Amino acid sequence: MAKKTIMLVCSAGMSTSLLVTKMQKAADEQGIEADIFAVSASDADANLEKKDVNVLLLGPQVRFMKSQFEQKLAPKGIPLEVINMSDYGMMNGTNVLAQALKLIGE
Amino acid sequence: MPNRKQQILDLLRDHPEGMNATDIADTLVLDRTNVSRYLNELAKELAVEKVEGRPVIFKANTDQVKEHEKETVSFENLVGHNESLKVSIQQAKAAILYPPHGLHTIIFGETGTGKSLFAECMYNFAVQAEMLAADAPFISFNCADYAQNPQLLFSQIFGVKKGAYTGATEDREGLISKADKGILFLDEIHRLPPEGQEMLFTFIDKGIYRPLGESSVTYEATVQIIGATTESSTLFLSTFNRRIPMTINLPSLKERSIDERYEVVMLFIKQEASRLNQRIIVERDAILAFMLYDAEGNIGQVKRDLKLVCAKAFLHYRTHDEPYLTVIQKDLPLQVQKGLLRIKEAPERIDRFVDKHSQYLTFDAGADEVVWSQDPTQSMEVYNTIEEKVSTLTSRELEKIDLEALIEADVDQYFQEYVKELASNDLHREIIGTEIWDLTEKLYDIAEEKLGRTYNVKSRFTFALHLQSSLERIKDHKSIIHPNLNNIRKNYSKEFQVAIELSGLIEEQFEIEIPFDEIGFITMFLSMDMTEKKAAMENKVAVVLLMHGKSTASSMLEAVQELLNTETGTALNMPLTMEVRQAYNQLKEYVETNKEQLSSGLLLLTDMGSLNTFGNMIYEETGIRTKAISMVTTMCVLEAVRMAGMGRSLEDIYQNVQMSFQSMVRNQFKSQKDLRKAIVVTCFTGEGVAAKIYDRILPVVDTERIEIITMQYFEKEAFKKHIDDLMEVYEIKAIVGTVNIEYQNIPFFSAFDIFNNDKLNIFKRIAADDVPLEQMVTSLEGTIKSVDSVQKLLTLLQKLIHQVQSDLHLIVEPGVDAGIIIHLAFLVDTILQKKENREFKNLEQFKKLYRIEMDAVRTNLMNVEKQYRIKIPEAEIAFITQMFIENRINQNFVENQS
Repeated sequence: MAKKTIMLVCSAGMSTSLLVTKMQKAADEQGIEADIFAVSASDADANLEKKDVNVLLLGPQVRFMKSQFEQKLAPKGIPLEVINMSDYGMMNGTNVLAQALKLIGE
Repeated sequence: MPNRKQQILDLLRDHPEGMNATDIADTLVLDRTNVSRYLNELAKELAVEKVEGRPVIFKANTDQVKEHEKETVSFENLVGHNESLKVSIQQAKAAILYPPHGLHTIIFGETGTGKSLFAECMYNFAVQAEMLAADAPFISFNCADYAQNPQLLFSQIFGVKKGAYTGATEDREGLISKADKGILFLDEIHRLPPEGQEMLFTFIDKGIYRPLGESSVTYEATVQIIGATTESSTLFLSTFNRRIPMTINLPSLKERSIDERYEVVMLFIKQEASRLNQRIIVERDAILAFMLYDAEGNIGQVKRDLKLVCAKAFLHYRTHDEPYLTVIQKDLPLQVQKGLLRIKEAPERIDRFVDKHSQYLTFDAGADEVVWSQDPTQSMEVYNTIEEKVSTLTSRELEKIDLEALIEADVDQYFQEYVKELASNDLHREIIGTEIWDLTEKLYDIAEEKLGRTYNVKSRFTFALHLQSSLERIKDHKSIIHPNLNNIRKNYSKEFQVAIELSGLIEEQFEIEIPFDEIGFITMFLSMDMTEKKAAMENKVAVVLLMHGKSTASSMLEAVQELLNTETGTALNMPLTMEVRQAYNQLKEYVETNKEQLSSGLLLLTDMGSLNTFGNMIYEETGIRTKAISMVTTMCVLEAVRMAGMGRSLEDIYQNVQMSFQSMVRNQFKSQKDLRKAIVVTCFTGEGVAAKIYDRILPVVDTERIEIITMQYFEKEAFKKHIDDLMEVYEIKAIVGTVNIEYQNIPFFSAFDIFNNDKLNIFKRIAADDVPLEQMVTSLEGTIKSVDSVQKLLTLLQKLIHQVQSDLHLIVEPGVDAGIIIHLAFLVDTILQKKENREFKNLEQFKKLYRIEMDAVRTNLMNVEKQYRIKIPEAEIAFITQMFIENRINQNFVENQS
């Protein structure tokens, strides 16, 4: 199974970084090889250039950027979604990881 | 007529045990309704007594069998007899006293100035002064009555000889002969045809006349002629002035002083109170309006308008069993209400009459009223009609509120509103039972065939909805009243026939009895034209600011337009020197000039509540739907202009702007309570449609945490009241129903929405509960370490984001609440750890666009800044503001900010 690159985007990249930690932990536990990182909305574009992102997840507070990202990601075929709000609220790394993997199609 | 009354009274005296109206009618061979009318009059005069029960028994009142004594009217009774009428009265007295038989007189005056009354006063004065015998005749005749038939008119006045024309089978005495040794009053004398004029002048000059068809003999009579006319053309004057020596002018209402107008109003209300033998309480503003309004029909019109208002009050009094009649400004005819616009012209003078501090004036039934026999408005007919209606309708145990609406409202108007309401409900067919739908189709197919016309789906659908609610009413034994059944039957006889036939089918299928009144409604549905109105050009709602001060309105609007970078909105300034009426005209002119652009309505924003009356008047006068909001702030104007720019509807904007104002006030008092959550489901019955909606939403609602409350929608205001009550106990997440309710910013879903999966999904997300705060606290504890209590921080932040939404008057998408809370928690943490700041792209532009919103966010964050001794940078405030604005519900996601 190839390594997964999961990018989380929120306003400042602060809140999602906690989620990243928890997702990473969940991935390790499940033996999944994943590169999970969080960026602020303004840094998202640069990171998309730099890295080969498999899936993008948005913090609920920047839900409004979804269409914007959809336009950018569609040509590259990168799926994206807003993080399930209750998982986000509870910082449930396991569930969010599952959401990301499901989007990639695994 | 009075002798009929006497007849009835005599009959009752012969039957001391009493009789009911039907028996009296049968005995005297009179029409029953007329008999009850006379009986009611007699009862008012206390000549007969009503014995309650059904049927009502009437008894002659033996104790006080006194003829109602009426004083005759004299000059001293006239308002202004010492002022505006002083000269006229002196002239009139001189004309009467002039030897030997007085002077022929002509009275000039506009319509309604009281010419007939004045003539009657002259007669009474003549009797008093013993110029005429006590039994001298006073004959009154209106020349306009026979103006189309000069021959008949002539013969009325001068009499006719047998054989003068076909149909003149016998000699008939003319009025002039009947008035011998008395006074003949000829109203609208200018309508007299030339032949008549000539004969009249002959009579005036020589005292002789000749009846129609009389060729040889002349007749003599001693009659003082008093003519009255509104005509003041020189041609008329020259003809009459030469022959009639005395000319008296009566002043128009405009020429009378405010003191006199006050007296007129007081006198008339007292008269009504006496007539009804009932106390009347009148609102101060209503009195003022009556004193000030522009009554083109002069005193006569004031009297009619007052009568109308009293009749309205009487209706209310009878239907609501109130202890007295109440007249309030709101009930006045529009034209009268407009009198209040002139209040500024004479403020200090007005207070003299009506004490500033008393809100109401009381009028009690007083002494025997002075009666003027010619007064048509004196009749009790209006009150009797109301009385009759009320008594027949209450016997059907109709709910009071319906009753009044039905009697008062114009039926066609009422029906149109009803149909509009039904049709506007974009209901899915699912919510109409198959049985009713199939029947409707069947009925309409029959109707199409019989009436040779077609009905579209919308018509059928509307009828189905109506049928559904009618059936429910009939099954619940609630009455259905069609106030104008006879007219419907007459005017739409074909449709009525078909309606009867259709009713038979409905009766058969549902095994109920369809009342005639319901058939009337069905008839109306069949005769209704529901062709799709072609979509009107979509105009946006116009926003007009009207404020006191040289440039208050324009500078406020300018600020808002600059902030929003728009040109929407119109400012009307009202310098303090400007009269209210002028300001109104200015507004009206604006509306009339721009009528075509105003089809979506007009929102009027004012700085004082008194200007809100304009809204109603503009609507009545121009037909442009107008809503007014007073005491607006820049925030309100901003909101209104922005929403108007987005093409939102008038009602929508109105509700929202009002809401933002209300919530500002309310939130200062409301304590933060833990409220249970609920969804309100509503329809007209609270059973039919609501039950279907309930079934549909049940699966998507977590009923353990959110209650679904079913409620009947009866009337808008009552419904809102219910919602208010519920909000004490519940946090209402959404309202779902058949009637669109925009209230308290509670998201509304129509029944149609709910049957659409995408919309149901949105509903689900909104209705779904927020992430519980406790769980968020648990997840963040241990990560956010710079504050002593995460719980405390999050609680504070949660309150804050609710407050911001309320202040900005928006709702963010579900889940965003939690997102923003977490974001803020980390932000506080970051600042406390003094990490570096970040930039907000195009901050200046954003600030300009959303200054108000940023202010609201900043103000709310001040509490956090204080608590944690931090300073939140402007860029962060912009980010937060953006989260609120961009994530609000109804926002079109396609809109791209980058």
